[in-house]
Amino acid sequence: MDEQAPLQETMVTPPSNYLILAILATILCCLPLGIVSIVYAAQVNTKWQAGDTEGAKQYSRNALIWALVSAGIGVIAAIIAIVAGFAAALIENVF
Amino acid sequence: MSSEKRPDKYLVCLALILLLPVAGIFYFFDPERLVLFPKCPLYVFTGLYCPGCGSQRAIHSMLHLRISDAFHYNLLLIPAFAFILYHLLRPFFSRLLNINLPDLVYNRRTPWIIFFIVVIFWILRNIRMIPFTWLAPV
Repeated sequence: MDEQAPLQETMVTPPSNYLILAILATILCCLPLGIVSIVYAAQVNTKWQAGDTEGAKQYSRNALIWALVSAGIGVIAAIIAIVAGFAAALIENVF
Repeated sequence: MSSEKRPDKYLVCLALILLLPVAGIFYFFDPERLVLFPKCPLYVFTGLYCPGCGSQRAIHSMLHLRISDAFHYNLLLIPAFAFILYHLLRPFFSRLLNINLPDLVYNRRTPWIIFFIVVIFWILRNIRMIPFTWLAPV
């Protein structure tokens, strides 16, 4: 019975499913890896409603990782493109 | 264990700090004309449009209030922004209107519905036939 009180407390809010981040990664980033994050977000909600707190947390972590991977690749690709664009403009003007 | 917090608030702060300068860049520069805007690597390598293709041009169009152009460049961009805006303003409007607006982000069905919309959109915009070519960002 002593365990019951803190257990109840953890049940109040589900772990973040990072759905907003996943949507932004899908719509704004170049590679469709954000979709993986959306699927993990779906599983966070399902696990949470089934009462599987640990499972929900695990999927929450995966959702975050995939959203960040997608965003990270997007940012790196953007930097490469901008540097390449500058280089091309520079070469065009110098030669 | 109960100290597990949703980091959504930090994300919101970060987004708001980045929002103004980024919106400025996208307002004043046209991604179609300026080569410095990054191109989609998936499109460059495979010639396929991903669900995010055209979103830079869509943002530029949206900021200039060319809404139909924004939908044409990326059909899902404005709906996605509307969904995010609803999520951010939901607590405020729930209090204001004294009703409990549903939390769509933590609804069991929402991520799956979004998943199917994105996948169907992805497939359709790559079909090079007349009704579907409108979905391609060209």
